[in-house]
Amino acid sequence: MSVVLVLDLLLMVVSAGLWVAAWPLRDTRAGTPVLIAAVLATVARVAVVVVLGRAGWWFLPDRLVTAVPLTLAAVVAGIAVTRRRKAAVPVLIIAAYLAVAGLAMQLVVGYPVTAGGLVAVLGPGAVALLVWRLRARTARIAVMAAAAVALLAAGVTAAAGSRLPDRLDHHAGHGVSVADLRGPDRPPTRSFTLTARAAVVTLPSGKTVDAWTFNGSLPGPELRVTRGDLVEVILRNELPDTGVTLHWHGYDVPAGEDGVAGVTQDAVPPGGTFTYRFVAEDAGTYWYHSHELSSTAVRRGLYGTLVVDPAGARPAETDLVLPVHRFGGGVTVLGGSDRRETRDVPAGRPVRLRLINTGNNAHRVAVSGTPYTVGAIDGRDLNGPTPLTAETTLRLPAGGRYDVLFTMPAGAVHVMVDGRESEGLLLGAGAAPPHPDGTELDITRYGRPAPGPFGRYDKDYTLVLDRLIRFLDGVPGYAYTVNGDVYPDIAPLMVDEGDAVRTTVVNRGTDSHPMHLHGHHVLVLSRNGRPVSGSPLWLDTFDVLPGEVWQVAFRADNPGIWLDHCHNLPHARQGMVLHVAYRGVTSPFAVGRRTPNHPE
Amino acid sequence: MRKVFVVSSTLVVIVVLTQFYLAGVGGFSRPATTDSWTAHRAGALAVMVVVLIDIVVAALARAGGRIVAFAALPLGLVVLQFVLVALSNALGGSQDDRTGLPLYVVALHVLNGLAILGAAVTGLRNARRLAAGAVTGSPRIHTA
Repeated sequence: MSVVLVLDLLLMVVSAGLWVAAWPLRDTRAGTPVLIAAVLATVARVAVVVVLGRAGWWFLPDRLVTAVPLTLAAVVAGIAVTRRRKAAVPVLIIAAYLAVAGLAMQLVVGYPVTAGGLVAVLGPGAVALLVWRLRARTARIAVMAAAAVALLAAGVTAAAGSRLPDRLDHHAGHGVSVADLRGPDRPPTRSFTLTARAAVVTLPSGKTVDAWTFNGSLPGPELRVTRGDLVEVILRNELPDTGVTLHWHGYDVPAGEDGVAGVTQDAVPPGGTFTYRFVAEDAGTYWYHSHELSSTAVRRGLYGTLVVDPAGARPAETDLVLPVHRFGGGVTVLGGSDRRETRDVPAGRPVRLRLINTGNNAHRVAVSGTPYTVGAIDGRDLNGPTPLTAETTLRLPAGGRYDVLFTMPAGAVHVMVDGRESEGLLLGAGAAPPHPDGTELDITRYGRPAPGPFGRYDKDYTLVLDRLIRFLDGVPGYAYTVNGDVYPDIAPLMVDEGDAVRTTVVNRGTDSHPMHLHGHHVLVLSRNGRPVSGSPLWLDTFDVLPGEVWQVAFRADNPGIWLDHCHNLPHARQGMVLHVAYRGVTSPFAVGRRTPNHPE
Repeated sequence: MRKVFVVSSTLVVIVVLTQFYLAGVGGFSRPATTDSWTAHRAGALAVMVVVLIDIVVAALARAGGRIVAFAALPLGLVVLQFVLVALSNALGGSQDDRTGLPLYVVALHVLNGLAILGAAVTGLRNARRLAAGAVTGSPRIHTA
């Protein structure tokens, strides 16, 4: 689908250019060829829009508004050309306007098409027409002045309205406060202290990273607990002038432990502390990171890993946690290393590699030298995973986790990230096995199906992701939007405890969006209209590629106010954040200029 | 109004040149982060605003269809700059990883930047010619 979106964009730009040129060139030798090209580009775009429409209605309204009349104008102009006559000037002017308006619809209006959006894009044309028809000079000036004032007023209102106030209480009111939805208050069975502090960390290659760290290390300490543990983590902030929190990515803690500045707590100021407590009930692979200024904080190093082991005696197993992280300067580390690491593992030993993407973009991971299975994704075991080889690569979305399982062979096994053969992790002895060109694993067709828990749905929501020109805190920019709005204006998804909630997520844009819902795992129902035919997929981060439509469902079983956002954190910072809010749950915490909180 | 058109056209050239400079700031800043490009991104909006003003001034100066269209050309080309990045992302490029086709597509950004500068300079030349015509007294001035 992303190719179709690209074609659509390209044809729209090309046809806009051609139509705009066709009018002034009408009386020159180039006039007819340019006009023919414009007509052909318009017809080609109609075909592309039809293909896009098959993906879902969400891709169509803004396109049809201009494409339908433009196609009519193109037909009229085309008929004129075939009769060896010149196309009428009004037709050319209207076509040029519509072609440019089509681009504006794409960049400014998106989905849904609103009355305001239509006026903003088509209004100037109507005003120009009116001014052209009016005879009296004063009337012309009056119309132009009125239009200019209206445009200016709309712009100023939008800019001022988008400015964050001193204090924005999203979820004030009567009810249960998230501050009271905390973990158990009894003595913990495992206790950790994480201290956020600035440090210059030297990586194994000798490169240095000017980092924000937990306990001075990159990544932060691996927190490994056993199912049933009551985990306590004391967070101390020794950063010079930045707040910090701890968010348990993928671990569905009580709302008050979720660590989102401005929603579930105030950011911990320099010198401050906060104690998190939760019962580790779900074995699996998770990670933690700061959720205050997260786009900066995580990239600079405020992240680490959390593993919940199953209870009971464990067979001898080599269990390696391998977060993939990319720092601002472009250095990528697998685990804690930016160069090839080797590790001795005896043949016959079961191996579990916990791959975690702590960056903003998907990584392509390949495992060569042994057949393997993907035993779990996002901390949830898959049903009946089948063996894979090096010819299959894994697309690890931002925030996502894959557990790779195999039995150590006699030879070596190599884990490669993004095709960098000279780096990665080499297990066992001998030469690194080669990596053939691989195809990507389709997780929606992997493993054995099993019946899901959902029969009917109490709530049905749609989130349409896009990139549009919007005001962000008073400044215009090319922002990332949900249903045409940016944070904090995106309407929260309201749920009641116990609801089965179905959400359709549509990506109209040309970037991929790894959508992350806090506090819950979602069951993937379908992708692009095709139901999941493999193992049930319970994810907390699902990567919606350009043009894709995902349908997911979750049970509202964890009362709170939860973030639902793109885990490409710069996208979140540029608007792509909303809340899932339980009716009757409130928050005493706020974002805004006079608060310490900046969740993104 | 035609003198104002010269001023606004000059402003377009200056802002476009500044945008080239800010691209240099983004490209050469170390450590290279996405924040390095903040000024260049803001510059894009500045270019669009100045070009919009220039179009309005050109229309008010009754510069004629072709000259107004030329004044508007940089706006279309700036939109194309965004579109090139979007195309590159849709082809698989990202802030972290851009090689092969996504890279070659987005690299056209630089050539298109030169085209914007060219359009801005041509727009300035048009405006100066128009103003010179006004000084010597063209028939249109008498009717206006």
